[in-house]
Amino acid sequence: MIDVQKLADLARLEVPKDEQEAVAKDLETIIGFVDQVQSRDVSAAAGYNSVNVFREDEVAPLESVYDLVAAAPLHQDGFVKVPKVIE
Amino acid sequence: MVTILELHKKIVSGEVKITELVGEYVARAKADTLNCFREIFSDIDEQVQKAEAMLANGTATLLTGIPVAIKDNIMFAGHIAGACSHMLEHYTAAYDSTVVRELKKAGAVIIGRTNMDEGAMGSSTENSAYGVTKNPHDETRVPGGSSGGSAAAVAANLVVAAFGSDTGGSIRQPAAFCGVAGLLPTYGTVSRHGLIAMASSLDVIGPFAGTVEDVEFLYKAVAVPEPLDSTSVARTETTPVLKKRLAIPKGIFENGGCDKEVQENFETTIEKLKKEGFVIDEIELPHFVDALAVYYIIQPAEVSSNLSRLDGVRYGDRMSDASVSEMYKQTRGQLFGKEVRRRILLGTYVLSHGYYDAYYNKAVALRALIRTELEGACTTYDAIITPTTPTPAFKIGEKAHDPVAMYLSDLFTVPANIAQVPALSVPNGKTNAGLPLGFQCIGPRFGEHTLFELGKIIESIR
Repeated sequence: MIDVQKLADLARLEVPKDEQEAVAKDLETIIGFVDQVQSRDVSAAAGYNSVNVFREDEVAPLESVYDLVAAAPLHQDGFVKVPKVIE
Repeated sequence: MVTILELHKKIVSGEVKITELVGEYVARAKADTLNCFREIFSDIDEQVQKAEAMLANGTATLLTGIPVAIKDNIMFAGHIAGACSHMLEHYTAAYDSTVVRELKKAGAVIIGRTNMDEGAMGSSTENSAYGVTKNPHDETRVPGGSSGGSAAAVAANLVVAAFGSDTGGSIRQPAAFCGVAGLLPTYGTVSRHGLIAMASSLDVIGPFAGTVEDVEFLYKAVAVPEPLDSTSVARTETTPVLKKRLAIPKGIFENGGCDKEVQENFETTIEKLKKEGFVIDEIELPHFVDALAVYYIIQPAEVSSNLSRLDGVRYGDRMSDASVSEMYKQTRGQLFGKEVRRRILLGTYVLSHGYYDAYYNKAVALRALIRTELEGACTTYDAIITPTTPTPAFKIGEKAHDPVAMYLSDLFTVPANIAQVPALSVPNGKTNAGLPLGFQCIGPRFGEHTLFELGKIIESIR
């Protein structure tokens, strides 16, 4: 059985205890479906390369910086307010 | 259904006033009972004025004054882009996506944002945090997803065209279910800049419209290189010479995975294509149907890492004053819906120690094989063809409790995303019960023009 609590901790995602069994069952079903990849021979596979387009790393003004910060739930003076991380 | 070109001619000749045209569509959109829209924008009048100014000074384009809609995950500066998630319910876009910028430049009037499965994860819009969209052809059925609101809005004539995003079929599947044309462009030709990221190696923005020609106009208007997107690539402008050869992946109708009526509908069109001089072969693409399993490894893996930014610090409402770790867990647990949580957990599983090689690396290797197979086939054939979906639109609730059954509705659409190649869904008639079906053409990278030519032929022989 998949350990949902462990995955939830790794993903920083609360899954209520009373839902964990149903979630585990769904995940088992999906893993059972994708398991077919294990039996496939991939020795002929080339690398999968995506195109990456690079440009010069130039400094430019960003007019929307305050709007970007404003997306954060808590912010002040153009800064994101973060929870206390050091006890 | 009226086309962009027809409307454009009427706008330019003065027969139709932009303000009246947009007004008619907005009135219908506001009266919508299908739940296509999350919001009708409040700045439509300003957009109309800009379009009228373009018309007056002779800079009008084909899209000037044309009412369009965008999916709720495409950013339009100053407007909410919520991806139909409680996590982003109050998120206001700080900048325009490339697609919106180009639409504005062309003078299109963006009237609203459309309903979708939360975070673009789903095939029915049932995962939207704001309720399902109903299929305009049968209100007891889903419109498909995840871009279901955009597809239904076009089908119900609430807009002339709309944009969605397609990560595993999220444009083509709802296009088929709603009886409109929809394009998955070659990965990178339409920039993801300003698209709320879900699975970045698979996500592509693309258009919906009533006809293939309109889809082509829309694609050309928004497919521009974007310096702010390192995966953005220039589209090609070659005029295709059709080989008049098409390929069907062998075995796709075996194992009962496809409705008999869908198969018959597809075969009827095949016969008509043969009469038009097309040679149609069944060919071995041994890994075509493996693409779905590959997808449900790579997609959740990318989701689990991409969505880590939605954490109650950078986005969302902070749902707790507890320790940082508890705050993350509670915020994410409470604001994400069931399917999004499931994909994050699945992605975490396939990327976790001990499973990474067995799942993720294996899937990436298979992905390369699938791409090689599809590209190889496209050197001999114009396109690989399939029904867009194995079934017509299903009932609301029918697959809501069976994730794998839901995933299987993307069986034929997923391979193109895995290979990053373009694919077009063309309306292909209806079932006896009156439900639309789609005909899919999958092309080589940058093969959009071939797909448009093919799509127009398929439309003309229907």
